[in-house]
Amino acid sequence: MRLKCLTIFFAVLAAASVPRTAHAQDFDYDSYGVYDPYSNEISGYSITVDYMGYNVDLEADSDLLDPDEETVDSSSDDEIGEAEADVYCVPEQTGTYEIYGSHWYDGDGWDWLGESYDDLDVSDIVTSVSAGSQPWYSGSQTWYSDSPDNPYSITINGLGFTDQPSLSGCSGGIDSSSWTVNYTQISGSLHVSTALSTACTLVLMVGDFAAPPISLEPGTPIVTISCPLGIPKGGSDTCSLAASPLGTQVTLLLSASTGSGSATFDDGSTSKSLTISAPTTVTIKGVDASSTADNITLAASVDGENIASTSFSVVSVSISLNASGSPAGDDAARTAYLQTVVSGGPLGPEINNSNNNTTCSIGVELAGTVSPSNYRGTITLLRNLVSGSTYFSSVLASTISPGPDNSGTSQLDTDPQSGGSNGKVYDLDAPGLSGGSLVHRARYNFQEYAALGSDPTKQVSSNFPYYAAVSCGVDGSGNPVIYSGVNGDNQAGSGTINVTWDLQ
Amino acid sequence: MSHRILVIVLLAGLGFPALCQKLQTTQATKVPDYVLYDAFFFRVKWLSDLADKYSSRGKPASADYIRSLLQKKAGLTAQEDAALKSIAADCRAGDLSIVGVGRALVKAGAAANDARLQALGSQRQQLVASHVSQLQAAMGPARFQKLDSFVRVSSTVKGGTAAPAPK
Repeated sequence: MRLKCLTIFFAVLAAASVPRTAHAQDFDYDSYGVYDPYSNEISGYSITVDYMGYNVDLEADSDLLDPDEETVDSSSDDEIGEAEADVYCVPEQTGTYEIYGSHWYDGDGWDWLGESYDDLDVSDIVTSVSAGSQPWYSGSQTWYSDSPDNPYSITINGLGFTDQPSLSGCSGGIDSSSWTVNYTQISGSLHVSTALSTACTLVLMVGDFAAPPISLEPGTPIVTISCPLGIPKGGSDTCSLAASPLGTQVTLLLSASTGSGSATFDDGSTSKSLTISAPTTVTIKGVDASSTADNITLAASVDGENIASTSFSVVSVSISLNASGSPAGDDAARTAYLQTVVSGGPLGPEINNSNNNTTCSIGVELAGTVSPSNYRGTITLLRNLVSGSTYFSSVLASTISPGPDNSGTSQLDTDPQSGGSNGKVYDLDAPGLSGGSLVHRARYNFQEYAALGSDPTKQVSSNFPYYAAVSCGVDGSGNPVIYSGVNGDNQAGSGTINVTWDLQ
Repeated sequence: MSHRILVIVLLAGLGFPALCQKLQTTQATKVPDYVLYDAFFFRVKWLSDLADKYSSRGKPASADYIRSLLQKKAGLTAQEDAALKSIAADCRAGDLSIVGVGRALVKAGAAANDARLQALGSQRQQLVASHVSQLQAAMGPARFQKLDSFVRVSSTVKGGTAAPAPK
């Protein structure tokens, strides 16, 4: 290289003395090179071509010069027709490299043709990239939004770094990033957005260097399902669904995990696909009562993988009436009820005192038999008065408006498992009225039904009709006494009665 | 190369001022199109070969980068790039065939003014010209015009005439 200038000068003079022939183009010469940022290699060539004839030797000399103009590689080729000299290096510093070609032909001895140049700008040199402690060149990386490694760290080693890398290809996929850039190393921390809903490919570039693509993957979606403990047989209720990230596509499946019982979605199917873009609900219909508690499963799967499930029971209740003898031993309201019985009964005709109000009453115990018997939730027996009248002897005193006539909590046993009852709930009542010098009569028709919790809209039984009829006089001390005289009076039973004074 | 250095030392001793300009001793002429494109086709083929070498070394990213370099710089479509590479490779194959024939003739003792050698020079020019025409046909006038501009702007080829003494 240092001899180049004098050589050229000599060549100018030498060539000037050579007679020329009239060719439009006898020789051409060229130099060219490329820098590959992936391998950090420079490759280049210098070429001398003879278009005139093929009877002279050509020479191409090629030098590869670093930014300090030091020769880092050189080669020479000597051929007829076309001579090509290739050069190569691994750049160890940034800056402008030069492919320098000097070109000769063998006229009368070696004659100078000219020189050629190509400059290569090596602004950044990437020698290694690692994600955390993992070398990156073994292949592309996959980053998951729910990984404990998130945010991911990157280290890029090399030379000439002045700017932070650019990211493209995954809009919103990286929701925060920080970089530390010094001349020989770039350190980065990139956080994959937990809101990422679909996979995408992130491209990280350092100057011309593009790292192997990074696949960003959403983490396993989180789906939460919440269903009531029981769904009424023949009725319906809703289960709540939520997902993270929003937009998760799930397939829901209803099935019995054990025993018998069934439920469907509102369209009658047992499978449903939906995209959860916001917290939502699905309606579940109870079809067949569960044979055991919590044996109906609502499962959510994403791409065939179950990721959430919950279980519930399809519930039904059968109601019966007990209007004689004593309340059942497993009836949690039994004790409180018995304390109100003054005489008679305790079920059937009795004198009852509740809240300092003494009445002639008909003690009744409504029992609900729950399927499944081991149901864990509460069930309340509720009551409607369907019709009712009171009389003074045979004279109508009042007509009672139909409507809810639910017992107070002290009269109820809403826990199917209380007292070891294994699927029984109870309602103890004592419909009646006070006595008087004229016989007071009461005739009632009721309907009892069972509801999940205490919500009358979640009825889990058919309506159970029953009646109570009682007549009440007073003794010499003014205390109420059961008064007989009308056939079918002073009793309760299933079904209905005529609410007339004489029950006719 | 020792003969060259001796001359340099001799001339340096004669006190010629040191010049560091980029000079040419050939009669610099406007580079004709066949030279421009011959050099361009050489470059295209050389880059393809370099990409293949990277592939064989197990460096696919490098191979992809080199293989797509000219396409990106010249703004070619994938189809145009494929056509260019195919035409350039074909031209280079023909070029080397002509050069091979010339070398064989010289080796067999053909004189400088041998008509066959002169004809080879013409064949070489015609070969390049015909492949430029192929390229033009493949790309269409408008797109070829764009490529042609790129070829001229990016070219570093130099040339001219010289008169080697007959051997």
